[in-house]
Amino acid sequence: MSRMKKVLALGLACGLLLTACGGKDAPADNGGGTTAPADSQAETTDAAETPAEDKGAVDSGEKQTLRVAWWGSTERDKIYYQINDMFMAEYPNVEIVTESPGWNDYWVAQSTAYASNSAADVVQFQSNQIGEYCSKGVLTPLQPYVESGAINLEDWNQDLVDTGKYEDQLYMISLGITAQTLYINETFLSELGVELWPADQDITWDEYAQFLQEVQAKLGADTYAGMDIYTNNDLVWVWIRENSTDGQEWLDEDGNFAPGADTLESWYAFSDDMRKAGTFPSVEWTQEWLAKAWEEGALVNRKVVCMFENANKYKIYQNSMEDKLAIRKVPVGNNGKHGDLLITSAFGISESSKQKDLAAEYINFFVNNMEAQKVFNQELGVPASLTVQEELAKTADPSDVAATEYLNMVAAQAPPFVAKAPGVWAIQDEINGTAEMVATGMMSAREGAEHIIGIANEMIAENAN
Amino acid sequence: MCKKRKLLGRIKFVVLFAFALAVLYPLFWMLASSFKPESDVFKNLGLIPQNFTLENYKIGWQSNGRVTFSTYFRNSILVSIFCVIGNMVSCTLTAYAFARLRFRFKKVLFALMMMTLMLPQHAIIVPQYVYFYKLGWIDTVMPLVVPKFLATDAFFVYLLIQFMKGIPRELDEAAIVDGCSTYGVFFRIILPLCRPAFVTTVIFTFMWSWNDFFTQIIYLRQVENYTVTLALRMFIDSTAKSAYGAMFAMSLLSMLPIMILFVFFQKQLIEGVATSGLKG
Amino acid sequence: MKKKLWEKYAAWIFLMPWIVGFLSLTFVPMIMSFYYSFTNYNLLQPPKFIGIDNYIKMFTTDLHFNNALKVTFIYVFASVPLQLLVSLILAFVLNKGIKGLSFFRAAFYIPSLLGGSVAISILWRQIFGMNGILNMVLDVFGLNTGTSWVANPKTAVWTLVILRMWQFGSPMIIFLAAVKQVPAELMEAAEIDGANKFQRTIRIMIPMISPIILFNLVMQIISAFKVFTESYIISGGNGGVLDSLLFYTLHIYNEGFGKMRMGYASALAWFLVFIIGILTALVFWISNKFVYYD
Repeated sequence: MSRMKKVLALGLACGLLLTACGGKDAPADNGGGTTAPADSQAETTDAAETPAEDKGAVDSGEKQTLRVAWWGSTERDKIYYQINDMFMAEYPNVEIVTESPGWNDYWVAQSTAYASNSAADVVQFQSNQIGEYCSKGVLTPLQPYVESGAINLEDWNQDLVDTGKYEDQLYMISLGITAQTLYINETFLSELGVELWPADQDITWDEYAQFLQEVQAKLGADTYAGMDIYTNNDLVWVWIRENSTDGQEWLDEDGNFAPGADTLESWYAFSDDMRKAGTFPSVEWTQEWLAKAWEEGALVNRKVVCMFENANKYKIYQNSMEDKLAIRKVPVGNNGKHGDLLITSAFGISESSKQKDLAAEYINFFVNNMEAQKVFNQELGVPASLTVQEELAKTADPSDVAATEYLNMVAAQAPPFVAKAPGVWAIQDEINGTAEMVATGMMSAREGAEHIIGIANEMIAENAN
Repeated sequence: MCKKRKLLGRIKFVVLFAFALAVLYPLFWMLASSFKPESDVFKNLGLIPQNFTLENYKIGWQSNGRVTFSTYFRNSILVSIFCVIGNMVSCTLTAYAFARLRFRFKKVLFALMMMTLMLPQHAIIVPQYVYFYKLGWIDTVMPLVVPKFLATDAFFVYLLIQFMKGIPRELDEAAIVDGCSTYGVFFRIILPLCRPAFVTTVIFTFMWSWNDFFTQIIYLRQVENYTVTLALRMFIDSTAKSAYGAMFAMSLLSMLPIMILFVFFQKQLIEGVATSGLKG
Repeated sequence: MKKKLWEKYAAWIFLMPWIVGFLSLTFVPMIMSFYYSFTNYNLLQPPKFIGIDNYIKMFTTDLHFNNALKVTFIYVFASVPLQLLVSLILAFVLNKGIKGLSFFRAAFYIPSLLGGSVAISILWRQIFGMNGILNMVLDVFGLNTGTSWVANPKTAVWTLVILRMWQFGSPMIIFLAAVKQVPAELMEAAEIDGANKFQRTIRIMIPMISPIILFNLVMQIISAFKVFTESYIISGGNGGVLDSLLFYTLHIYNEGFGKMRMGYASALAWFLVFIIGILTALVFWISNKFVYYD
């Protein structure tokens, strides 16, 4: 009861305060700013941040707060918390404050946070967003920290380190790498009496289409040889890279959207042909099954035999099904060209951070401390540090070992990593939405391709501020 | 005649009852599912769990292992209570001015207020966000609570205005003749007669702030500050392992405060409106 | 003297919290976002003025805009009248003394209490899914075609219309309260005049509670236009197949926070303000002739 009274009193006091404050003739902005709670809050925040500006403060006895953000889930958060605890045990004067919304909410939170200069010190990104954020100068170049040894990348696979670069500047330190792979239900396939090609062999998209036909001929109703690919935002870039000049898959020399209408048209047409042939399911079917969690998806439930997904999910898929699951390389272009695209999840340091040194030490601890990496255990894909890769392989799940092998193989074959320019989200969304219209016959593949190119150039122009 | 009426009444009752069951079936299904093991959740229509388990509640309550639902509930309750107090105070004051008092630009101001009712939140969320950041309020409950103390919920202002307009002016006039000031009329006549509208305001404010998703996800950043809604959202992230059973279990728990409030106040909410006070 | 001043400025004193809130939390942000609607603004760099380009894009290159408008209009104009009709009928039925009135009131009101929440949206997605409750029921009658009502672009929006109808309890409660306020003498007088139950309802009840009907109509239209959580959760955030669940607010959200096109999103938001304004004015104008005020 007395507690209730307290709350009531507080609320009323607050109300009165704000009312009183409104009584002044001051403009609205000042009106809000003069309220007591606001001021005291702002002051304490400032006070807490001041010592951090002092570079020597990292090892001093003063209490410091480091804000770290990642896209989370109840399970993933547990891992990060454990690593943060290990870090705090080594740095007793540091307190880590975390932000971990789920994937969709995470990007909303980050864009608004950067807009208002209130982003966390250490922020997790994915390679698709590198261009989006780096081009706007909100991230700290990390090369100085690598040179000073604060972040140690000595034994790292350079191909994988480069996935954190934008315009030759290092902005992000990879936490894990993945790439598209083709999952095939091997047990199901052998029950059907179809043979699987060897793991190191390249097949073309035409050969893949033939393979699907062969499988589909032996399947019953409501089961499909392959999951549709039109919704796959990562695979479309593999397709585009297979059909473009290295280094120019995103922008051409004139700064326009590089992929040609023919490339995009063929991407839509492939899906379309497969649907017509009955080897891919209907659009509604695909949407329905894609909406389910990975562990309950079409692949796991024997609704499809083949499906493209990121290689780091091998363990999740394999462990949620009894059938043996195989992985194969993504088909090459009919011209024989590889297009694999490495996708990295990485930590960056906000330009607005007042404790970049501490942030760098945190990142270094996270990616290089073996105990921390054992806890992390490839949560976001294969680690770029070769030492960590070797150490983890000793105790890893066989699927993880296979995924690591796969990614090292793909990294060697893939064209060099080129960061996508800003506007990539809007463009990928348009590719996705247009694919639906093409799929349902509201647009021809050619019209769809031309629409994409128009929108893409519009987005690129908007972002060329 | 009497028998026929009774029979009709019975038929009406049965039809209504069946309708109510159909309306509530999805909720019962969710309740049942919360006691089923994860693998049974989406298997059948049955309302009786074949393998009864409390595991979903145990797992669900633990959330991410660091911060549990005890924290989320505490945060949600805190936010909702402040919102309720804020709306009660500020909306009543504003409504009284619009319903009863004369002042310049009344029509213009009323129109402006009605406009805020229609203004989608999305239209002003970015400037608002930058503004609250400058006040150092990000990741605090202030951006969720303070606007309520400033009568930004035009819905309740409108509701209260409509209600106050229903109170006969003769009551005011009689009070003024008896020597009451504007304030006296407000405290002695209007406030006591508005009680039924307050109940509506309390319940709706509580419900809306309890279920609010959009504002909370933008302003609350640390899991420690999360409310129940945000915590529920953590269960259904498509990139994470699904836990429908646990999510249903926590959803049901999250509805509990609202249900209790409703059960507690429903008589006042509905009957109160028609009390004699209204008719003077 | 002092007392007189207090009395003189009473209205402004009562209005103070609202004025402060309106200016600082609505008016200034509104002006800013109106300005943004004429700019290219990605949140990270300062806004760049581009004139009315955003408004032109809406009607030319943005295909989602048309889809979003269509879906939202279907939703609003199907669900609001249906919801109000159901709630009005039930209010009349419950008003005539019935056994277990408080049970029915509670039962019918519960969906409104829970309706807009994340959990109910997830539940809805399951009910109308391929292996959902609805198909399980249809299966009993041998009518299960195996389609997903949520993923099928022809039916998707109707599952949300049903979700809104399901929440008929809240307007019903308000109607019920209003119906109780209608003076019993009026009804008795009509009964003496020989009007039957139905006539009494149409001729006396409805006109007497017409201000409340108007209130509910306006409120429900506005809130239906603002629906977000359901569309977001049920479509998985992308607006569903062929934008069949792309509500206007979701489109604004996706453009603004998803693609960081705040300028364009502001323009979309202002167009929504325009639509809601027009519709509300229309409702008031039409109802001027029919609504009965004391």
